Amino acid sequence: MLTRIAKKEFTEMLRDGRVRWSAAAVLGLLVLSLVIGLVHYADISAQHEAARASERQRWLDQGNKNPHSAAHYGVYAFKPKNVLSVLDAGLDPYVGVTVWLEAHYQNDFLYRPAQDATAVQRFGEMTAAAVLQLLLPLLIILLSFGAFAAEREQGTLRQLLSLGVDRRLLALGKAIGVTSGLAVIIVPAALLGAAAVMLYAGSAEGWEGFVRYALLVVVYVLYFGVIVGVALAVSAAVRVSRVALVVLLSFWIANSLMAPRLASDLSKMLYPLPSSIEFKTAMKKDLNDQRELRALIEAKKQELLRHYGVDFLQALPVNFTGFTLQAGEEHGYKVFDRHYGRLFDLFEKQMTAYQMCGFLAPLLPVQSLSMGLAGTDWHHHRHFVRAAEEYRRVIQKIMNDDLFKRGQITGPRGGEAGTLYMAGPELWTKVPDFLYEGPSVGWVLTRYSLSLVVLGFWCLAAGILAAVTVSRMRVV
Amino acid sequence: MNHIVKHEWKLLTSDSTVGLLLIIFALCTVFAIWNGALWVKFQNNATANVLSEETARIDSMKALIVALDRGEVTVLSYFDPRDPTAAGKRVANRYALMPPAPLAVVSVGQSDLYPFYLKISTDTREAILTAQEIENPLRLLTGKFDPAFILIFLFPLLILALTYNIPASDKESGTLGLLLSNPVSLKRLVTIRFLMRFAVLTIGVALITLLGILFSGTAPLDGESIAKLALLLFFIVVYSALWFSIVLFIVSFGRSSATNATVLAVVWLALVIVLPTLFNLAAKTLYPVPSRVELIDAMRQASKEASERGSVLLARYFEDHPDLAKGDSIDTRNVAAMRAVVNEEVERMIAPVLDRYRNQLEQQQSVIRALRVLSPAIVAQDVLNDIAGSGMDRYKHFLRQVEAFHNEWKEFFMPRIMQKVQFREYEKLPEFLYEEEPLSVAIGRVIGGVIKLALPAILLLVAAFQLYRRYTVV
Repeated sequence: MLTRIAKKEFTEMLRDGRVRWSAAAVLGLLVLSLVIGLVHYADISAQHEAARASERQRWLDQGNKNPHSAAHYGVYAFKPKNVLSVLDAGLDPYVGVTVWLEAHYQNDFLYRPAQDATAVQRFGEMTAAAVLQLLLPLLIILLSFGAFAAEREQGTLRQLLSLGVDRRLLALGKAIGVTSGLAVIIVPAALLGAAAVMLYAGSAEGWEGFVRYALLVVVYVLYFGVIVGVALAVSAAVRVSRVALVVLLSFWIANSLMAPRLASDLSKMLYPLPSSIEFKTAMKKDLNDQRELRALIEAKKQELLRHYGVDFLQALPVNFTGFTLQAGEEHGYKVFDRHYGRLFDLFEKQMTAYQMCGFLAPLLPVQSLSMGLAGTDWHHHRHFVRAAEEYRRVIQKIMNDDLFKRGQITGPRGGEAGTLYMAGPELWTKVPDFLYEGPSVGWVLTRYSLSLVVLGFWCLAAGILAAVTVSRMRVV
Repeated sequence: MNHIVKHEWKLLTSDSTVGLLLIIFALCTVFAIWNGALWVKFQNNATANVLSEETARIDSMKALIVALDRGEVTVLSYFDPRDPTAAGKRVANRYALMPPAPLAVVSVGQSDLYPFYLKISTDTREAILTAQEIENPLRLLTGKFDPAFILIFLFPLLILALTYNIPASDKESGTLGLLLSNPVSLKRLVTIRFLMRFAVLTIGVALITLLGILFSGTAPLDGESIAKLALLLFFIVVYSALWFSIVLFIVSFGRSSATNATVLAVVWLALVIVLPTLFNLAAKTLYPVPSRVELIDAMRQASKEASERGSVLLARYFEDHPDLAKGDSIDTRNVAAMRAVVNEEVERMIAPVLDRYRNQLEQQQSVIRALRVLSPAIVAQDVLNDIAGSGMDRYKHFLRQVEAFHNEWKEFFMPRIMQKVQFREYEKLPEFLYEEEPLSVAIGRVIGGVIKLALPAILLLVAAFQLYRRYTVV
């Protein structure tokens, strides 16, 4: 019986020219976005790799200079692009791609790609995620708003139920019918996507990428399940199919158009951000508060003078500048960690509030999970920001330690201690290459436990809603 | 005639869903205006903070000079306010800032993506322009719930919701035949019904929006505001007319109301969501802007090469500016001077690379400009951003002034750095004064956009009336 109901729905759908056309359009958009996305991805990755390699070479070839000059020269770190960003560009257009790692400062990430695009970018990006999050739910609604309502209008519902067909079985059959209609679009697209991921993913992210991809597919399938459930419930609860359509379209508008913006503005009202000028001024104030630092330096100075039994710094066998510079860096680390930590935590509080709004709109957890799995969300960005900053600290430590150990080299001008010491390539090679490794799938999932709960809630809610409305639905 | 109007009015007022939709829409608009006003206040607040930081810093530098002269304190040369290099680069900086325009509350637009204040220094232009305002990237992605969002996305949906079943629902309930048995033509009946709804919706939406803006307290009541409010009204009327004509066109095919609803939903989706994203994809594919990592690469390479030629560059500078040279010998130990000329050289070397980014973006813009007539949403976005002063054109107008000011700043400090003279002229520091874009230019752009909305509306109306001749009543 079940297969018969499903088959009937499926055949009806295939016969409908409008369904065929819209399915073709959706599939076309999916393939188009995937192909163009991959080409674009290959371009950008090549550019990043080239820039990374030549930046490393410039660091190694910087010739002889004082380690502290080298620290000021610094290195640029470039954020690598994840293959899955082709499916969901997520926040990538809105976060910087590069950061300058120099002495004394944790710099901001520069160049948000959206700044190099037209204002139309703000309508969104044509990626698989956009098609799956916006267009497919609409297609589901158009396919299933009449599932019960239309049968009721035509009087076939009474006929059908008089045959003794179980209502829930009927609903399940209809759901399977709609789903298999969707499968015509999703299965080829998903296979194509999988092939692309396999083809493009580097060896490092091979399996990892595949697991992420598989989870993405699961998340979207659950989302479609939620939409099918809601659509069937409305179709069963509402007497006329026209009203069912209007109700479902309103749901779509609220869910995919209004909810993201409302949730985002709400989260800002709950957790307002400082302006950049306030943030910078407060950070500068803390950086300039060096009482503790000066005391630390003074104590170390006395200790060294005592230890070596000399009277003044220039007589030390070590270069004290190396110590003061490193102490200054470490003072900075505390300030940067506190200020950036607070700011980034505010972002994350906003995002938690955003995900909480997901209890009212199923798109929100799906959107968050999708970005997370694609590696284009905030958590991945912050992970890279942290890695780059750690690398900057490694450079500072190596440079300052070398300065400290090399002892006094004062020139004829006297001058500031240690400025005349020149290090060479052997020191530059001591700094390891910056090879970034992204976080694992498990790490991602622990960050999205709330979204997973919300999505689970929706699956349950949609299932129960459909079951209840179907068992109570009016036959005429 | 009177009968129809009266009857139509009764229909509208007695339908509870109409009332409900209008109330939801009004609430959304009020919230959006409030939300837009919050953003304007944030900008004004940040602007005030910027100005007070600048004043406090420059005052403290003047005080520091006095203390330094008296020998009461010491300071590292990098931060010595008397050192022209330190002054121009680190301690005497002034800001260039663009205040929000009078109707900024209408659209956040691009104003959350591009910085509205920039700290000017003797650094390269690139280093100055890369500053940015803090914003959660998720909020940049989702966009803001501002009046522009309401007008571009939701207003058309309100129109569709209240008109998609004219006259199909009459046909379906069998009353259309009855109605037309009276001495009234179908064309007239439909026209009056549409006009009624057009008038009610447009006046209602315009009233809520305009009053909301006036009460938001962010729009000063001056000539510019009034002119822009008039433009906004003009836009609302034409955009509304366009969507009404789209509905009229679709329903004139005489399909069932459920089919009309489906088709209209798909048309809306295509015009407002799919086409803009597709055009964006097309523009980016035709004229890809290379990743900025290439620019960094070029800049680093240029600065490496320029640094190697530092002393040559310095010598050349003094050849070009003999008035700044002290005697015959060039002071190659003037590290600051060396760095300044190297910076200049780097700017010259990367100019072609920067032009490439600019050109590609210009090309993308022209692709969008050519295609936008197909998507009223893109035109509406441009128009509203222009009215709010949060679009790309006003920002470019600001950037041109920033560039000029940056040059003025460098020209002010360059001779002082070169001659290594002490710098005390804190009263003479160049100041940035934002000059607003001429109103006529913005008005011209808005009217150009609105015409792009009006033309398709007229075409669709003409086509719809042709189709009505063939409309079957039962």
